[in-house]
Amino acid sequence: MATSEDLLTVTTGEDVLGVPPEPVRGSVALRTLQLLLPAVGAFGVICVAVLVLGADPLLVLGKMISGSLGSQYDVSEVLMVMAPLILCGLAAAVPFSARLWNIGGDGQLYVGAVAAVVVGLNVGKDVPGELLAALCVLAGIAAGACWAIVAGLVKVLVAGNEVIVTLMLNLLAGLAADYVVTGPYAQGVSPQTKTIPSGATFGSFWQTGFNQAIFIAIAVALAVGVFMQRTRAGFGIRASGENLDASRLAGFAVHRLWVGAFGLGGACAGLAGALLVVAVYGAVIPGMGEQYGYTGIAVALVARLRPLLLIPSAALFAVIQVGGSGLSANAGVSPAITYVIQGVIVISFLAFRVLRVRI
Amino acid sequence: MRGVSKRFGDLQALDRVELEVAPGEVLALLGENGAGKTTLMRIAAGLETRDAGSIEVDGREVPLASPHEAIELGISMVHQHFLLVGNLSVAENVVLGSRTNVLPLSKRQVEREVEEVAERIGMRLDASRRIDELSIDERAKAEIVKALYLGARILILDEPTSSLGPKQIEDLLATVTTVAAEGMSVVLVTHRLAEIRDVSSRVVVLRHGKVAAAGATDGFTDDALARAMIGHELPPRAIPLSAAPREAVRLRVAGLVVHDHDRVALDGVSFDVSPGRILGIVGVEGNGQTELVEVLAGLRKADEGRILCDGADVTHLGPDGLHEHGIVTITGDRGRWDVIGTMSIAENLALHRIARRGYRGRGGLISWRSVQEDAQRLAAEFDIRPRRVDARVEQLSGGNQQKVVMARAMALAPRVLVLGHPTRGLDIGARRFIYDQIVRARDEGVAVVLLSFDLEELLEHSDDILVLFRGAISYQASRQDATLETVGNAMTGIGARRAAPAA
Amino acid sequence: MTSGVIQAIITSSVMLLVPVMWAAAGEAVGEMAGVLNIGIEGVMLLGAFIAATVVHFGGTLWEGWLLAAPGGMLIGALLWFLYVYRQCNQIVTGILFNLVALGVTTALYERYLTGAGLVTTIRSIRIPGLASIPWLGPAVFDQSPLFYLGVGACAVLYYLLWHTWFGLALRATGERPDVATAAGLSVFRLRLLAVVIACVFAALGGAALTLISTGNFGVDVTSGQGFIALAIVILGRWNPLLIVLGAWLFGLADALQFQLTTVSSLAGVPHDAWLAAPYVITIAVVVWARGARYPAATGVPFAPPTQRRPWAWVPRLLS
Repeated sequence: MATSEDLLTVTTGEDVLGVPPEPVRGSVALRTLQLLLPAVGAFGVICVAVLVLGADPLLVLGKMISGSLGSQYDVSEVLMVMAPLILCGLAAAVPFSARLWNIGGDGQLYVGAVAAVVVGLNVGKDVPGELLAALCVLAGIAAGACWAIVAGLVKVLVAGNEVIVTLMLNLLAGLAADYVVTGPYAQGVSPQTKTIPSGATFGSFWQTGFNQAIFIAIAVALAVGVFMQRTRAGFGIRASGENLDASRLAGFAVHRLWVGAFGLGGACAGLAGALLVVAVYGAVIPGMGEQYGYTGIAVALVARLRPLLLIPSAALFAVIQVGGSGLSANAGVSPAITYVIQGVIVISFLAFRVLRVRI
Repeated sequence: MRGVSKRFGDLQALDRVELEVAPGEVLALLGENGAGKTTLMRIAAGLETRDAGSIEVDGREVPLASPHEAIELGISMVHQHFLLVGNLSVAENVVLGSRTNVLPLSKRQVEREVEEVAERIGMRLDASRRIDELSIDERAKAEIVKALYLGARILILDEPTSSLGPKQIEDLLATVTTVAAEGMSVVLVTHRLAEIRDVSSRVVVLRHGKVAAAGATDGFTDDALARAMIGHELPPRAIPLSAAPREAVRLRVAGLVVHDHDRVALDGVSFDVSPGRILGIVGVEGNGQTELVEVLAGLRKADEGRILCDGADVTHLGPDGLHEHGIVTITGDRGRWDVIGTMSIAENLALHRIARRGYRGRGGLISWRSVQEDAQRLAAEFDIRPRRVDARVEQLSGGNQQKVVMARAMALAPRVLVLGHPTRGLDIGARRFIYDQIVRARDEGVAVVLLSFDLEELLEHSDDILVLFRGAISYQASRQDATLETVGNAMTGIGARRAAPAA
Repeated sequence: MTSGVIQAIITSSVMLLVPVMWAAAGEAVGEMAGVLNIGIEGVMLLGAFIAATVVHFGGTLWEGWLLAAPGGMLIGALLWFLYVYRQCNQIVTGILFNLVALGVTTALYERYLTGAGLVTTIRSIRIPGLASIPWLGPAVFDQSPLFYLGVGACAVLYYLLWHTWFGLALRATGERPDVATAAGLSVFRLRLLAVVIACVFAALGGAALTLISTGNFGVDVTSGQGFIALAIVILGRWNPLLIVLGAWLFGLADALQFQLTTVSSLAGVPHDAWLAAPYVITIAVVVWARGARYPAATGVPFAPPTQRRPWAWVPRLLS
């Protein structure tokens, strides 16, 4: 709602669902200040959190940077984490464009991983490795899409609250993963499933630790970018997010587009899960999803829901994630601090209206 | 109010306005849409801040910076779009805001109190009914009772009659007179000349945020007031009647019945529209016009009856199917149905064509370059300002937004054009431009259905007139035969249904 | 199935409903005033953590539970600042808040609380006479005092929402904040109270979770109970008294999960299937409640037309 006061105030805030809300006025200095304030604010909050945990913030910061960008191996690790983050970012960005709050990236990722493992373990051993990998990935995509479409159908058919439904589907997917880990596919030694045939897993390039996964993710982001910008369906999804009624009157079958938006988002998250199996673990492992589904929402918001901007945005979040994962050994701080850092940064951007999301 | 000024961005909404009202007086505040009437009154009610100027009540200067303060000073405003909570009862709405403590609230007691207040001005009111269940004029009365309950000494009515029929208007104005006789100061905001004669003793005319005229109502002729409102003489316009034959039928609506929840919104409506003619459909709000537009737009399902376009049955088609048959609808509720405010002019102009799989370029992808080229051409042809087609539509004035909607509809080469209130909220210049386009479309052979609440405007432009009352047709005639009086009566269900020629 | 098992199911269902009942009752007040707190899960988690911390550092169980209330108040003020004052999108802000709450509690738990567990839980109080009613007695009248307090609190909230002046103002704010403003009410202030009530109740519910059902804190101990509370609010149609019944349905689903795994004839059913029951029921509730309408302004940020602000230049700088 644009009030008279909004018209008068200076803003650098860019609308996540569109172009800038109002013409930007004010000096460069003021606008820089408006960008700096949330950054400083977030930094302050994070420092306090680190101090409470009994560590030195500067030491933690140094360890995070050296732990994520310090060596070739660390950079490869960042690239490997970027892939699921880009894909989970898409899982949020596509439905969010239609103002459908798909919070289900987490669950869609897990069912994708489960489907990939189930296919990988059940399809005959005589299938060539590359074909098996492709089948695993396709199964993951299909499973993620189906899982998301459940929420889409509830939204379209009974106007149910998609936030609650996707959250529940996340918890159910977590149980499904738990079931395959402890049930019929349990490996028996450590808490994970049996691993899929090694021929179906991606190796690593040049002994560095990263592989095709990141290229697949970037290619998908590019493709989704073109889809959203240059196709009728993509335009319809965006238009329905901006004004549902006008899109209906224009002749878009909005409900079909909505189910499609959920399906496409879920397919991306499912692909993320399948890639975690095929490219990283070779199995389903509890906690493999690392809250990627939720972090993906933050990634998408910072990227202003634009598929191409997801790539740098995911890079930023991957650096935080990888940098944080080594902290317990290096600085005595739980890696869970990464969730705090990621969440606080985005919340302060929202609070200072550097980012805006309309309802 | 002295020297009140207000700016919205680049727009000087109010410029040193002076306004005074005495106890027991009805002051009429006149002005075109966008003249600043509502803004001025919102400032008086503490809903808007002012950039300059002072406000005095009983000779004492007051800051008046919040609605709460206005209420304490005895200033109450009845808004054009009523400020009532739909799922609360009349009594709850009336007493809302008078207390916020955690003490028990006895429904029975507040209902009695509210009904007593209503009786003071001779009004019968069931205070236990929910607002949702009330008709528009009952809601207006609930608003007035609310003001009285709050102990208002200054009552501001913002276009209270805009969606009422003649009988209901008369009723409401009588209430206003009663209230004023009790010593209340009343400000009646309106853009209709006729009704101020009956009730007001003084009049203030606003134009472009400035006071254009002020004085005793009897001191002005209607022409003088109109001139003050518009700023120049308006040459009367005579739109030539269409020469196209009425017998050729393009769109036929037969026995249309539509239910809205339990209510019958349309009850057996039938009419024909011919190519090259404008059929005007008028009615008081809530008598089926909105539902008719929605059915013709494919947004609402008809329960019974058929709609035929050139003989083809289009009754159950959605918006896309109707577009295929060349039936294009403008709903008149711009922000909701007609434009996507946060998208660009070009995207809005292309919206329907993209939905119909248009603008396919290389590889089946949307060619934004041809979208851009078309938009430039249409913006020039329809004089859409600013000419930058990548500007967001919400940054445009209402008139220019409507031009975008009109340009898009015409670019689709419609065979039937359904227009719901196409000039609602527009100033006189934009209004004329839109009507010129409508008449041009008519002369090019488009069958036009024009719906409006504004009787005079409709009589000026339609070739045939049809009146909706309680969801059924209560009157139909050609333009030459229709008079303001007969149509006005038909709108409120007065007078027998005329055995009219097939329109 | 023996009658002993059935009695155990009923009794534990009432015990298990306590946390979600507290959370859902508070959330109903928030939503009635127009604030949808998706961050409720995080608030519960923080409440559970506060209780566990207090007890870990020598406080009594009651002190642990009660100190969750001021914690909830502070969290409520923070969420009000984001949701209402800064008009952030309530859905994404809430989700991100949950992420932060998970991170904070996990990191603090791993640093300070691991290894140490609560062993005791708040003892239940038996109401003489009533407790001897067959079936119902042991379930309802031999319960944790937090259950009695919770039902009482729901009754108070019901009265507050539907029978007081404050409740009328709150409901109007959630339906038409513009009307409330024009009537001289402060939407910001009313929503502050509503969000604080919602968060205090959620925090107390989370604390109850550590103190009666699990008896311990663990990483992500709430496991979606906050989200379930959101569905219970819909099921109870925003009426705190009906919410008690709605919460019981979920308590029952939880209780079945604990008890039925011990029944030998059902041994073939994987444990995860029982765990899934409350989540499946939640989705079913959302589908079934297709007619349920949120208060019109729930989740929609509101910008008051005139805002008297002592530090007017600060938000101008920030916005």
